[in-house]
Amino acid sequence: MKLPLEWLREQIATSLTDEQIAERLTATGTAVEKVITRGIADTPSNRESFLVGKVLTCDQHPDADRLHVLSIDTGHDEPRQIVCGAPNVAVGQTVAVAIPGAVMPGGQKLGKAKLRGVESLGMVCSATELELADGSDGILVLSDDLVAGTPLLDALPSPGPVLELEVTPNRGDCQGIHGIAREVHTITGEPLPALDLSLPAEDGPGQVGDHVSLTVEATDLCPRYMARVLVDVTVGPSPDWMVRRLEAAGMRSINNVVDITNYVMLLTAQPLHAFDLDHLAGPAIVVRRATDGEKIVTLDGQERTLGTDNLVIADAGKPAVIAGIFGAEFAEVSGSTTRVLLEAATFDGPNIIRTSLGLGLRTESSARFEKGQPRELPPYAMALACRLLTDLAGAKLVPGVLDAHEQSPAAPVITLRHQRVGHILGVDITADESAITLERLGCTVDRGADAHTVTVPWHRVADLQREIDLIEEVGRIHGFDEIEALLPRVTARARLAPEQTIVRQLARRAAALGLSEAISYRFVPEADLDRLGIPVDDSVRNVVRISNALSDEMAVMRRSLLPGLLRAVERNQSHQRRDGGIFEVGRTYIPAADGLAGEPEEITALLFGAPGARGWRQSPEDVDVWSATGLGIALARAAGIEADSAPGAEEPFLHPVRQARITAHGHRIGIAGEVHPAVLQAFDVKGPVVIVTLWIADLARQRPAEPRKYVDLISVPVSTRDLAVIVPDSVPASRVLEVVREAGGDLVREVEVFDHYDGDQVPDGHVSLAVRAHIADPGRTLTDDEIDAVTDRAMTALREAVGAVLRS
Amino acid sequence: MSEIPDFQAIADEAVASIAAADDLNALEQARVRFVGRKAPLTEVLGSIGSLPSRDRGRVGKEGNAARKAIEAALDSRHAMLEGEAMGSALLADRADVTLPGDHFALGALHPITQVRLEVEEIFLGMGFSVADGPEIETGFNNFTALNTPDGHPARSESDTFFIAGGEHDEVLLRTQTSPVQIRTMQTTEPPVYVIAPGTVYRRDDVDATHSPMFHQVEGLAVDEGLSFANLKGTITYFLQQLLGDRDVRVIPHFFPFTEPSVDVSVAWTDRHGRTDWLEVAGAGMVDPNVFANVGYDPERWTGFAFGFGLDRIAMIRHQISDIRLLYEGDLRFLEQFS
Repeated sequence: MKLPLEWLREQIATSLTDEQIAERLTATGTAVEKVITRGIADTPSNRESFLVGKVLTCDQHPDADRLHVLSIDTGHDEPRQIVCGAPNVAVGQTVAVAIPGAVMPGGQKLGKAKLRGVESLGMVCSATELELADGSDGILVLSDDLVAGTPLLDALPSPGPVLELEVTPNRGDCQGIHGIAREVHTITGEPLPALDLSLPAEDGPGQVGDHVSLTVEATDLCPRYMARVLVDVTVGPSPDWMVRRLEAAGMRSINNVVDITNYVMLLTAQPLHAFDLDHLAGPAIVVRRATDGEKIVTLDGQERTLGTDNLVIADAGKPAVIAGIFGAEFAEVSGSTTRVLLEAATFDGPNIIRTSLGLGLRTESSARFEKGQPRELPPYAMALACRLLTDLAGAKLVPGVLDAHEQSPAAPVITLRHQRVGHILGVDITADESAITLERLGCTVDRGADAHTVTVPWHRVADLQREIDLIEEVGRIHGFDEIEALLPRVTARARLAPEQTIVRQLARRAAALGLSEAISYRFVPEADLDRLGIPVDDSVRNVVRISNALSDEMAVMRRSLLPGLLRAVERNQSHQRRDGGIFEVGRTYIPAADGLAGEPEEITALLFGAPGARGWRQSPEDVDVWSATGLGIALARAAGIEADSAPGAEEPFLHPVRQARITAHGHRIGIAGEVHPAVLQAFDVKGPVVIVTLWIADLARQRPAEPRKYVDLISVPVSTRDLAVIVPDSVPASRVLEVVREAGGDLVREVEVFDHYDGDQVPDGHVSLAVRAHIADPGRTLTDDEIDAVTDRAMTALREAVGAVLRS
Repeated sequence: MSEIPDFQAIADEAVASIAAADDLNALEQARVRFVGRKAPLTEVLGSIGSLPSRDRGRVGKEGNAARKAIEAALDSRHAMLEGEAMGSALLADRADVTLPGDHFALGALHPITQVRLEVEEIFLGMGFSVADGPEIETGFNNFTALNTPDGHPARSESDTFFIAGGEHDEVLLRTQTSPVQIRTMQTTEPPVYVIAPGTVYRRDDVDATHSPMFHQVEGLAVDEGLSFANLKGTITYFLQQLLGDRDVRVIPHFFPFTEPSVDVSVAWTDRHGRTDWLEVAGAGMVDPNVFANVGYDPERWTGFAFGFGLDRIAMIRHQISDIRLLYEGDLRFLEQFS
């Protein structure tokens, strides 16, 4: 809301400076988002350097077609020479002149200038340059009765500073300048004149009921409807002071009648509506729900279709206003209007919100009704508007008022315990201080030793219902900046769940291995499932669907992290990034029977191209399935889990025979492999791309309960023995390692593959595998014979178990 | 051999020759010449037994002294020439140290993750646990239990994503991490000290400052005797730990599920040197209605809650002007944070 400070000062005479008003309002909950200063600043120097001038002569500039050289009387002894480029300048005009030393509204200081060789001792200003308008053609031409040399600030009063306020949704009462004045009153204790309920003379013809009838059908949506009639209205322009205030508050002047309704709304927070009574059929006012499909052409020329949820103010036949929001053209006040029906009503806030959202129509009026205005407010606004209409539009008020009024809710009476105030706020506030604050806010306080009994005024019934509401009022006026910052003595014990620890460990490991973490949108196109090659009957096709998605590309919650990462690869490849590593930690979403979802968390790490260190003498190799399994094992290890790669994975989005399960203690904890070329094609990604996915819940199950125990591989020598065997290619390498490990019993600490070959010297259907066993007994040094016995046992076992032949 | 040689002269000549040897070859020739097997000095010393007994002592003594002097000269000259040779060999092996050194592939945690981890560490240190909750939530937990009744604009289709086919209750993508408060209080007895970082969703179109998915951290403390002063103390300490020792301001605001409620700002100097209050968090004392909704006795327990956006803090901190960068997986962006 825009608050012109001069208007506020009219409502409450306060000793606070403009800066103090802004600072105190912010500190007590009406945040000042910015201070708008329009026009030239009212400083002694600007009073001397912005002056009224008269154009004495106007000659063509010798060297520039578009410039004129003026001689201007600015009340000084000598006329002043100024070069001017405005097309509308002419001899005899009264104009606004800024002379060197003037500080323009933008802040820049004017100096002497030479334009195309001609000296210019100032500038003739346009309305835009003076911030009196948002756009203007040429210079501002002033009224001829102004005297040369008059300070411009006297000739054209500056609009003064305007505060842009953020009014919180609980404070409908602060949507009017009077409400803000009450805040200033509460802060300072300076007297606040009450709103005036007096009416002008009711000297119009007949009684209001002779002119119009009122029927409120939808009393649930319209708790109060007041109408008065004014005749002999002369529609015309508003006086300057009103136009200036409306414009400073961000509204445009229309005509005196409409302006008065807006002016009263800005002051009291009560929206009004003025109808041309002669255009209302009946003449009648019917407050009712719209019929389904009923149409209204609103003032902006748009035809809008209404439904039974929308409240309208209709005449005997059709809707004249979408209640509280926007009027129809036919019943509006125009230049020919003489009889006005003035409405001051209260509507149901939530219904206004729904209608406003539904129609995409939010107005100054609806913004106020949204918060739910009290039904005691309309008479105040009505009285002020009637006074202004008789004063400024020559209107005569018809005696009587039509007033359909539901019973107001009783004003809450609340017990405020002094001890509770300190308990919640953590600061000592005296019983006296809280009583004074609440009284200034308009409450009636019956003071007590342990507690006050507080009766809430009608203008705060909506948000002051409970003791805590009063404590907030007392606290905010006391000032939260006055309350000490104290750390609590925390009595709970902090911990991380195993899953949280695992996620941290894996993410940090992935980053340490050179992969960067991405975060993708969790809502994805459903077509991702086709791109991943998920079969139509697969349970993965079961997705959580968003009913009001922003687009088809964001329609369902993801079942896999892979598409998001592949899109990232596509984006990176599109700018010539050929290699890299990306990972993401996050949830997938599986519909659950209760309507919610299972949200298992996983890490998916992806490598593309030949990632790793690359420089002028370094060139890493393209990734393949073993990059993926190795990465998976390295990641699992970060959580203390010894993982293996095993056959048996059958993911449709991975290469059919170059994918693996990642296992720990025989249990699956993830998958790894090369992304299927068809999937790469579907995502427009160039291979090779490999991924590993590990499921956090499975990792948590396999995570050792105890910290890793140290194994002594240092104080006892470890011997290595190599075995090179030829085995059928149907035998997995892991089986060969397992056989060697088992044959060695406790003595084989570790077995590793150090060569794999299936070239010329190896018979068809076989592979050559070289493994290295690390052999040691933690207790003592083994003899060569003992070590050889281990390898002999291993070789025998290999022959028997997997048909291995020792390679010569 | 009738005459005793002039050992001093031999030594002087040898030392002079050694000094003149300017490479290891010349030095070797000098060694052969003066102390080699056939060198006169060697021969004299080798035939000492044939000398008259009265000369033996003197010849032995002087000859060996000369030999030692020559060998010392040889050694030192050798060390010097060897050093020179190594030096010139090294010089021939000059490297352009301005060529880039070897690369080590550096990955990075996402800037949002980095901020989140820091936040978690600060609160873990204060005794807060890290709680978690589902992103697909009920309307009750996300709104109703938090004093945001049916019909509130935040619950409209234009603000909140709803899940299709939710039958018994309104199901939605949570719009805030606050429902974790409700879940925590429904399942644990006070005292409660938790933070809940997480992903949240609002139905905003994507542009430079809006994202339909972003990240928040919720905090909740419920105990006996907690007051607004403790809220202020906790949030001030936290923000100063995270963002440095800057001023923190709390001003009254409105949230449906806290009362009193505040906006929290920190003093921030922008790149033009202007200092202003930068809003970073919302907070407040837990509304008694919320306690009633989860079965806590509001007379016995008091507490505070706070929430802030991780995206916003990451963007402020790293001067990221476009929120879309956070969600595009562009390595040119991500790898800057390694």
